[in-house]
Amino acid sequence: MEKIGVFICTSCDIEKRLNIAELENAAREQGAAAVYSREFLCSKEGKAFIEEKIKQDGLNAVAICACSPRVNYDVFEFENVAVERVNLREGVVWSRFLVGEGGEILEDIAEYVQGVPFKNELMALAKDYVKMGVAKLQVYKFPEPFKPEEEISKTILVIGGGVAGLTAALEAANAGYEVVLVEKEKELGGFVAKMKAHCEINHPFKNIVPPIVNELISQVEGNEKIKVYKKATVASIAGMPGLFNVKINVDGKEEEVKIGAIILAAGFKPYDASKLTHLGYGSIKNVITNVQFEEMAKEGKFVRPSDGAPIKSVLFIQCAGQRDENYLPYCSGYCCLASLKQAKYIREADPSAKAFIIYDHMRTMGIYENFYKTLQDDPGVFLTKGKVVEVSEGENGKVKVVVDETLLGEKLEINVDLVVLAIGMVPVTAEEPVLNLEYRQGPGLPPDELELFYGYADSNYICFPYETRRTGIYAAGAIHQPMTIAQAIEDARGAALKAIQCLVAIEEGHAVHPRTWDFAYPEFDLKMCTQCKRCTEECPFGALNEDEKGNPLPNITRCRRCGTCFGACPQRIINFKDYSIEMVGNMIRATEMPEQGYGLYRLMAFVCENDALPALDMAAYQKKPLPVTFRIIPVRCLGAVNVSFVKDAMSKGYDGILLLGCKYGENYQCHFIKGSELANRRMENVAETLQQLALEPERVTLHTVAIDEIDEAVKKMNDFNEEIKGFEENPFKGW
Amino acid sequence: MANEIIKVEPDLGVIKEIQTLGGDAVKKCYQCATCATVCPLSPDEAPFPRKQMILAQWGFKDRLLNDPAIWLCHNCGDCSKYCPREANPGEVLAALRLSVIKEATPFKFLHTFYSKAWGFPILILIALFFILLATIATFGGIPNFFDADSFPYGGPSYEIWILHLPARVLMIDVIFLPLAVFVIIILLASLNRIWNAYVETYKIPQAYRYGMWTILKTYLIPAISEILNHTRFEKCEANKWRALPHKVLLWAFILLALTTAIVFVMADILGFHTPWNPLLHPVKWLGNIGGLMLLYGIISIALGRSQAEREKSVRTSYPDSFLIYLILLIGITGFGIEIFRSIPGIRSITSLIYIAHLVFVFILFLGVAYSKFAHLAFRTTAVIFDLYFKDISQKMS
Repeated sequence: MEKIGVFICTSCDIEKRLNIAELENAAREQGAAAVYSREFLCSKEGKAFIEEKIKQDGLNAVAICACSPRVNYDVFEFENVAVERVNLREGVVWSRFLVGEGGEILEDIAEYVQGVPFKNELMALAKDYVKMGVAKLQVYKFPEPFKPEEEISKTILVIGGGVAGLTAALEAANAGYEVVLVEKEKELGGFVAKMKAHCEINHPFKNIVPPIVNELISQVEGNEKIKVYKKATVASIAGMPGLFNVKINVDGKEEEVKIGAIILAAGFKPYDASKLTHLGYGSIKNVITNVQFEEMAKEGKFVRPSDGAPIKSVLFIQCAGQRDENYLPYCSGYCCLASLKQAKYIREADPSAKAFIIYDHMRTMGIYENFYKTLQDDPGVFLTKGKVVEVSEGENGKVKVVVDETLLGEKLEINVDLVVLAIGMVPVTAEEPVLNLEYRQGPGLPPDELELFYGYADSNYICFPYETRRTGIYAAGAIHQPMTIAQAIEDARGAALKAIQCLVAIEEGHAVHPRTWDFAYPEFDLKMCTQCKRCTEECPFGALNEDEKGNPLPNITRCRRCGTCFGACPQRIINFKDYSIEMVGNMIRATEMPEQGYGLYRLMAFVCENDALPALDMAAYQKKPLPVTFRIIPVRCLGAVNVSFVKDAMSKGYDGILLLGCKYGENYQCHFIKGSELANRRMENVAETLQQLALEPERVTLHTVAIDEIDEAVKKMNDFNEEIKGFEENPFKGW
Repeated sequence: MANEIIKVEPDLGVIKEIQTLGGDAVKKCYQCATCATVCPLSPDEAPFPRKQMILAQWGFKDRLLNDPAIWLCHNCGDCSKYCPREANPGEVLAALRLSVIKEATPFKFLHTFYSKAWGFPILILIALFFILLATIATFGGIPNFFDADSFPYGGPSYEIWILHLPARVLMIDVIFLPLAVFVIIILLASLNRIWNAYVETYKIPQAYRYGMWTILKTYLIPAISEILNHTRFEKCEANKWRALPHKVLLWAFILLALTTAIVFVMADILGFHTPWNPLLHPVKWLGNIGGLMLLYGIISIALGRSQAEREKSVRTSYPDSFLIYLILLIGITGFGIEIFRSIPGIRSITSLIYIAHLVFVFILFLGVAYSKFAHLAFRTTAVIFDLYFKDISQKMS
C-alpha cells in the first residue's frame, strides 16, 4: 500500500498516558503519508473525519491507533481501504502499568529502573505498535475473492436415506437447492422404517406414533428437486466444495455427478450382540436384542423364540455392552427410551404382562422425561437401577436373571419369558470411510479425529457442531452423535443449513469456516518448492493434494485459511495477500531496539487471536498489568507462525519470544485442530538451533491458555518476563 | 440380608390395591430419597419411606406389611411436600397402613365395609340389627321409639345374681361386652401375627427374642408415655398443627373410656343407676369434659385437614374422612342425648338420637379392629417394637 494514513485516537486514557505528538512522529518516520489525531474516532463524527481525510488525501490504507481489533470492527470499515487496527487501548494504556512492591499501581513518571521513568518504556512500546501498524500496511495487498474457472455446482449430496438424510434432503430442497440422495438399501427410510412405532417428536412427548419416516419418504419421492439413488453407494469423491466430482455406484453401474456440498447421514449399525455372551446372548434363545424385539413388535407376534409360548414378562437390560471400556465406551442415548417404548408395546398387547427395566442410569434425553414419567405410572412396569450378575436358563423355558445392587437393597431373582438387551449404536464411520474421498490424506474423515469420538463424525466444538475436518462435508444424525429421532431431525436441519452456508461462501469467494470474512487464501510459489510435503501432510483439513512429483496441489475451497501450511513451509513459498512472511518480518524490523547494554529487555509475543488474545483483552478490561517489555503480534493460529518469525525477532535483538496459543491434546481447543501442537513441535526444532548458537533454548517458549484463563495468561507472560531476566541480553542486538 | 436372593413375582393386584387405597401416585417415585432425608421421624439405621416406595412399586406386599416403619410414620407430610415427583410418599404409607389392617385381621370383608363409602349403610344395618335384637330381648318386645320413657328409660328390670340391671343397661351390656371381647380377640390375633413378622423381618437373633411379658414390662410403659406425649408426632414439620388436636382427641378418648369404666362399675355392678345430674355429678363432669375435648379435637382435625389439603401437604382419603365424621357424629349424638332429654318439648325423640349414638359407637367399637382406628393398636405395637429393636441393636453392638 502506498498512501497510508495514521489516525490516533486520544480518548479512553490514550492521551492521558501517552504523548500523542511523539506517536505522530513515529508514524511519519515509518513512512505514513498522513497522520491525524482526534478524540473518539469511533464516534459518528470520528468516522466521518476519517472518511473525509481518506478522500482528501487519497489514502488507500489506514492505521487506526485506538482500541483492540476485537471491538468496533464494524465501525472502522472503509470501502476499498485497507484497515489496520493498532491496539493502543487494551494493548498499552489499559494493560501496562508500573507495579510497586506492594502490588499498587504507580505513576508513569516513577522510575522503572534507575534513571529511566516508566513513561519512557511505555512510549517506546506505543511507538513500536504504531510503526508496526504502518509497516504491516506497507506490505499489505488487497485480497481478491477466490473464483474457480469451472462453474461451481450448488447441488447438495446427501449420503443416507434415513430420517436424518430425508430431512436434510427436504430442508435443502425446500430452500431451493438441487439434492442428490444416495441410499444403499433398496428402499428409503433407514432404521426408523423398520420400527413398529417411536416416541412422538412433538409436545407432549408422552405417546408413541407410527414411524414418521413414511411421511418423509413420500415427500422426498414427490419432490422434483431431489434425485434419489437407491441401492447406491458413493464410489468416490474428488475435487473440493463447489466442485466435487462424485461417482455413484448404482446397482453396479457408475454415474458421475457434480456436487457443491455434502451431508453425511449414513447412520449407524446396531452393536454386535454376539460379543455379549455374558448376558446369555447366543446361548439362550429367549435372550434377544432391542432390534430383534422391535422386529417382533412390528410383526405383532409376542412369542418366545424358544417354544412359541406367549410372552407374559420381559426384562430389559439397559446399557448392554455400553458405557463399558470393553464394549462400547459411550452412552448411545436412545436405548432407555427404546426400552420404555418396548415395555409399552408389551403392556398394551397384554394388560397382565410385566416389563422389568434394569438400568444403570435412566437417561431419556430432553423432554422425553415426560415419556419416562408416563411409563413409570404404569403399574406393570418395574424399574430399578441394578447390575445384572447372572442370566441363565430358568424353569419352564423362562430366563432367570439375577440383579444385584438394586434400589431395593437386595439381590433379586427375576424369571421372565424374554430378556431384551438394550444394545447401542455404532456409527458406520467407525468401520468404513463411507465418503471414499480422493484426498491425499485418505478416503475417510481423519482417523485421529474419529478416534477422539469413538468413530463418530463429530466435531470438537460446541460452537461448530456440524463441522467435520473435511470442509463442505457436514455430518447429521446417528453418524454424527448417538441420538434419538427427534434429535436427528433437528440435526439434519442444521446440517442442511451448514451445507447451504458453504455454497454461499464459495459463491462469494471467501473462506467457508470459521474465518467467514476472509477473502485471502494461501498462494504457492511452486518454483521454489522442495517437495518436502510438510504442507500436504500437516494441513488439518486435507486441503492439499499432491502431483506425482510431490508438489502441493491446493484446493482452495477446502482451505480454512488457518495458515498451518504457511507456518510449516521451510521455503516460505506459501503466503496470503494480507498475511505473509515479509509482512511479519517488516513489522519486527519496524520496532526500535535499544543498543546492547541498555539493560532493559524487549520481548516478542505471538498470540493466537482466537482464544489467547481475547483473554489478554479481558485482562486489560480488568486492568491486570502485563510486562511493558512485550510487543504482541496477533496471529490467526499458532500453526501460522513460521520459524522465520522467530529468526527475524531473534536477529532483531529480542531477548525472548513467547508463543501463546490454545490447549492441545485430547481435549484440544484449537480452532484449527493442531495449530499450537504443531507450533510446539516446530519450536522444539528452534530450541536446538538456539543451543547451537549458544543461546538458552528457554528464550523461545510456547504456552497454552483457554479463553477464560485470564489470570493464567497474565501470569504466564509475567513469569516468562522474570525468567528472561535471568539471562544475558540477546547478543544479536544492534547487528 | 444383603446376600440373600429375593425371588420377584410382582402381583399387579397389590400395586393397584395400594393405588386405590390412596397411594395412587406410588409409581411416580424415582428413588431420589428426598423423602427419607426430610422426614423428621425417619431413623438413621433404617430410614423410610424411600425404600417402602420402591417395595410398593414392585408389589412386595409381604415385606411392606411386615415392616414396622410404616407405623412409625405419622403422615407429617414433609415427604409429600418436598417430593419432586409428587409421588406422595406420606399417602402411600397411609395406604399401606390400611392395607396392613386389612391383611392382618380376620374377617376381611368387615374391613371392606370400612374402606368403601357403600359399606357405611351396611355397617349401620349391622349395628341396628344387633341393637334391635338386644332391645327386643331386653325390653321384652319392641318399645316405643318415640317416647323416651318407653325407650331407653323404660322396660323391665332384671335381677341377675347380685346385680340389679334395668333393661337399658342390660341391653348395652349384651351388645357391647361381646363386641369388646370380639374386637380384643381379633386385635390380639393380628398383633401377634405382625409382631412375629417384625421379628422375622428384622432377623432378631434367638437370644434376643424375649417373652411377651418381658417385652411388655420393659417397653410398654415407655411406648405408652411416648404416645401420650405425642413425642414423635410433635417432630412433624409440614403438618405441625396435627399433633395438638390429635393429642387432645387421644386424651378425650381416655377420659371417655374412664367415664364409661366408672359408670360400668358404679351402675352395672354397684347398682347406682343413671340418670345423674349432669351439672352436679363428678362423673358427668368427666364425661362432659371428655366429650368437649373430643369435639374440639375432631373439629380441629377436620378443619386442619381441609386447610392442609389446599396446601397439598396431606390428602384425605375415604377411610380418613370416614373416621373423622364418625367420631364427630358420636360427639354430636352424645351431647344430643343430654340436650334432648333435658328439654321437655323435644324429649320424646331422645330415643332416636340414643339409637343413632349407639349405632355410631357400635361402628367405632368394631372399627377399633377394622377401620383406620386400628392404628391405635398397631402403632403402639410398632412403637414397642421400635424401642425393643433399638435397645437390642445397642446391646448387640
